[in-house]
Amino acid sequence: MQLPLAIERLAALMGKLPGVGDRTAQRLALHVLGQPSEYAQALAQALAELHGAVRFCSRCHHLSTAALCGICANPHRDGRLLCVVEDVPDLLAIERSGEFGGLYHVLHGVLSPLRGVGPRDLTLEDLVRRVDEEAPEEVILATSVSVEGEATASYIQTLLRGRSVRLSRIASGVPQGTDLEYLDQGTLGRAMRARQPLERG
Amino acid sequence: MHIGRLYAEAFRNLDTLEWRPHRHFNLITGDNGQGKTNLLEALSVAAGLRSFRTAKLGDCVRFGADKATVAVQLERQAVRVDLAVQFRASGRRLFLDGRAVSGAADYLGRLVVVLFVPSDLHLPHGEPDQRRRYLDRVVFNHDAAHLLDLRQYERVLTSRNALLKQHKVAPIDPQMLDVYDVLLARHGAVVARRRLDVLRHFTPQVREVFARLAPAGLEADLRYVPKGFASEEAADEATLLLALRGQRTRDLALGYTSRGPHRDDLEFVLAGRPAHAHASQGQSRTLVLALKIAEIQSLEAALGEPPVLLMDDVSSELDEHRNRALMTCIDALGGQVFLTTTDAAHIRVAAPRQIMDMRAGALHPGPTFGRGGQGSTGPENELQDITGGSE
Repeated sequence: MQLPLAIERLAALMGKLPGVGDRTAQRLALHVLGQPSEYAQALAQALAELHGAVRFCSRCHHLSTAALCGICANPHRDGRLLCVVEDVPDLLAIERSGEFGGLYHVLHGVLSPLRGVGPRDLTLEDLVRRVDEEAPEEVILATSVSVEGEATASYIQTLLRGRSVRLSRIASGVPQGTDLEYLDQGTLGRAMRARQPLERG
Repeated sequence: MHIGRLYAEAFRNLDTLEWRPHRHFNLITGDNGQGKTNLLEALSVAAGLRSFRTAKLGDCVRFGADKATVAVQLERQAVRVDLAVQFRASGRRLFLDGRAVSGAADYLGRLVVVLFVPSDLHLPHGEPDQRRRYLDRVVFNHDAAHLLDLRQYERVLTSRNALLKQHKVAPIDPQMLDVYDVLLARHGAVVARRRLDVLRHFTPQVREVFARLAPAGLEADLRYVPKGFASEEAADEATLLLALRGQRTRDLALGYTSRGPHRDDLEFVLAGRPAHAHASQGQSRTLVLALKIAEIQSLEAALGEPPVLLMDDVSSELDEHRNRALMTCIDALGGQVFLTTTDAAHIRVAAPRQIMDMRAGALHPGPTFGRGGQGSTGPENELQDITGGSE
């Protein structure tokens, strides 16, 4: 059965969202129609203002409403620590952990010759400039533990060679609350190699 | 371990098949083109999720059918597991005891087979990549982590090659190559180290088996030959890195990585000389036979029980003496064997057996022949063999 064009159009646009198939898109469109019209108005307004209201932080490239993002503008963050992440969701994940009080630098991707992503496609020049200008004590490379993530971390290592800043890489290994027997061999192997010495009681 | 039941549907030319093979020896006779090799292929797909004939599993789906299914009931140390793989051109689904499993890691390693096909006999004279694949399989049998390390190495390698190719279009950032040199050396050293480690155990086994098969005094050896280094250096990260840097100009001109573990070779040596140049056809066949038997023995040691053997018409390629050596080994192994042949006269084993005849994709109980004369070995007798204390 054909639906009015207005619904079909909304469903087609919804269907472009990640994880949304044709049928879900239609269900979402009909659901919006079923709500009071104020909801549709508010949704439309939120969408319309999205691009105008959000920009990248001029310092760390996190999403922001002002020139500086909330983290960079916060005077209580520790400027001696700089954590490099691939993307915004990675930053949010580290924030949720509550373990990190320093500043971030978002690369917006990883180096990948196979997908044609080179150094100029990432925010690497700004990273080097920040290290020179802000002189953090430590740069933590928190790119993912994959071939691309390792390559990106190594590339940054070369870029920062000769500078006095301390470089570190986040650890990888056994997740909290996991039985060893269920771990894949790659993870377990890495965890064995990166084992930590214990103090003698 | 042995296969208690095989089910195949829409697999190449095979009729929908439900078969209870013998727990020791299964002989599949039939003329060429009837489907004997397809049956072995189905078993090897059920074991390793890969075919020895095609890179695309979709090719094994019968023409006109939408999907193919292979299911085996595996008995391993008295524990029964149902394995099933269902595949079509677009992908595959795996089942363990009737439940879908998402990753191949959960599925692989349960049914372990050793495959012996006529093309294996070209190993000493063939292309290096064939020998590398053979070596990596032996290494994988010892240490399953090898597969993962090999995949990571290949990922770094294709990335570096992509960079080298990009350079032909527009100059690339040399620091990017620096990074991939370091990663390739790191992952390459792991791959080469593991190959060398396993060869240290495996080579004496091959030497010993060969000495039993060959005329007295003739000795065989295996040598890992890295392209451009001494064999021990191949696993040294610093040496690999230096070599990668040294060959950069050449690699940039070629557009690919000219040296590294992906180009290393496994050399077969006979009486101190490279087999590919000096071995007679008979000698190199004995060598391959020794390799296969050593592979089976090393797997048996690793698993604690013999693997399942799949042999595709190999006997017709071997002379009387080597055939007897192979059959003796099969008898001594005591595991499950599937053997195809066009000429049953080649096959002389003492193991209890079932003979099936493959005609136009359908299995029929075969004729009686061979030693022992215990009468027909159709399905009824097979049941007796299982229950009747032939162990």
